[in-house]
Amino acid sequence: MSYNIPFLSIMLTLVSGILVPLIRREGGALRLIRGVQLGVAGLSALLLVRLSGAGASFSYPMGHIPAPWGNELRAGPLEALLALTFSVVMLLSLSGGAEDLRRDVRPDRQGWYCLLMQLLFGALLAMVYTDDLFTGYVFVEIAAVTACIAVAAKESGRSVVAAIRYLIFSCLGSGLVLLGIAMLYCITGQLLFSGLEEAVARLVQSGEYSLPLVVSALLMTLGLSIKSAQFPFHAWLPDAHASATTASSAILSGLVLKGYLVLLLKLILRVFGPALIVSTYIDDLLFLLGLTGMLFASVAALRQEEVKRMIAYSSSAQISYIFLALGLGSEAGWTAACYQILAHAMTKSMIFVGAGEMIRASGGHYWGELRGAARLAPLGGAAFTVGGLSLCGLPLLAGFSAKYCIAAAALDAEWQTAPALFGLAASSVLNAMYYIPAILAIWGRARANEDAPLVWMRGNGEGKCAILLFLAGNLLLGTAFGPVRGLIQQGLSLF
Amino acid sequence: MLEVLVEQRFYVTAVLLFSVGLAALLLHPNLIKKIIGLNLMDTAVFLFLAAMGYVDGGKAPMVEPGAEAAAYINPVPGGLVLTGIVVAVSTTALFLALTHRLYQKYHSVNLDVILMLARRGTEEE
Repeated sequence: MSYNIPFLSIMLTLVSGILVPLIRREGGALRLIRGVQLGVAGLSALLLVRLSGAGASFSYPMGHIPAPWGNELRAGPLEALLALTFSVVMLLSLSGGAEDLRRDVRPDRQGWYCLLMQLLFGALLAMVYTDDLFTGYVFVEIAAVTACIAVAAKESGRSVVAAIRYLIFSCLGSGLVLLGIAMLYCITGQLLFSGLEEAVARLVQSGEYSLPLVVSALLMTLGLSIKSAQFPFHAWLPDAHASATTASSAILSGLVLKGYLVLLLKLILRVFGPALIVSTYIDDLLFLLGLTGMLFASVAALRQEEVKRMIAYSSSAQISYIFLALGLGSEAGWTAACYQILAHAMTKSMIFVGAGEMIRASGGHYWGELRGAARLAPLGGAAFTVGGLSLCGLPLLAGFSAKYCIAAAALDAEWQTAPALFGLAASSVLNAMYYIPAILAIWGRARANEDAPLVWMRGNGEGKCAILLFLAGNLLLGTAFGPVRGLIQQGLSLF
Repeated sequence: MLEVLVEQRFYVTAVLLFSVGLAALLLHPNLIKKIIGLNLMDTAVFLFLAAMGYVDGGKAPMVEPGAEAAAYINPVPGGLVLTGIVVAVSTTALFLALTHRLYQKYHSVNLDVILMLARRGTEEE
């Protein structure tokens, strides 16, 4: 049974997505896709328990066609953990953003919006589970197209402009990835990760085609960096994430960027192999991209007048942490990267949902209008506060554990130790410089000497539940540091 | 040098097309030309893939009894190109749809003009 879970979750998601626009009842579409996401979360949890208990991973040949010809999925503890987190975050973001969704998306379009979200979710799951390079590329494209439409779904002029810029960068990124794949296939004749791993190892050993191999690795790294909005390719991100509806922003920032990084991690570990990446200095490139990104994007975030733009820039900075950790080029670094993927998925979606609540309660996007907004939407304010503190690195929260993991990994690095620790410290200070004033502002009074009691609005129970679960998830990732890291390490060793 | 260029003409053309497409996608402010650039870029990769799968003197890969594997061209790149075309068509369709939406709103297909108008629009809100 657990053998079929990866395929079943992808198939269930895609099929339910296609059926969902047929539902006529108001709110039925959203309920159905969330039900499916809950189901997938349950199945992934079951898979995680089984696989980590047995300490095993398996390949799943689609249609029982054997390796070099068929298409394969692969699942181990890490894949199951990622799928579980992705489905939980997806479910909570859609629940938390449901109220805004009803306002921002026309009623007759909501079924279509749900279709998009479900396709996006299916694409993310497929990126996590796939063992085939070209399948990975196809789902990267599906994720990109659905994410662009999700940005445009609000149908305001600004969001369509943002979507078109997103699409341009996205196409550029996927063009580079496709070229990289074509070159790699040209010199290896393989597309499955398992076959590629052997073929690349053979090429490295014989020293043949070393230039095309490096160029193809660079092209794919570059393409995926553009897609995951790593500095200096982040120009599209703030507008796209800031102008979309709450659920879209939360999912785009929290999950879509991570999907590409999971694929990059697979490429590094399973296709090119750590030794090649280290010997060609691609790890140093990733490290430097991460280091500059975490400083520059944070400085850019300081200057933002608008709450969602600030959060979007902060996303770019947090993505840089993942690049930095990947660039350490060690087992501990990859573990830290995975931890940051999980922690940021949980935290950033929570911040966006919280900000969405506050924007709805106060009616303004800008800091001036948001003064005292947390008093109008206490739970939203709490989500923003906890998320912000988590990203600043307050212990017991998810962000701290991820930073701790990265710092611990950096200690064992060759030359990267000092720059990595400096970058972490500086970027934490910068994070605090924009999150703490923001937190003080939202809990403060709109005008001096004015009495502003906390207002507890009734209704929107699902949104409140989602925020509470987000908070719990954040605490869980912050406190259950050992077990989660153990799971990631087990997953990486079975890769 | 020239001989190599002639021998590798498909790859050389593919690289040229890719660069032209990339430049158009990035540098041209006109959205329609950007779309053309995107398609050029994709086509270049398809040419690259198709050229790679070609075996000199090979036939279409439909199995005939008795023929050796070397008698056919490699079918896998063909499959990849087909998938790539589907992807390219869908991104182009989305790109065109968004351009159409922007044209209706701002009466221009020039991205610079649209960005300026959009910025002014948000300030007025």
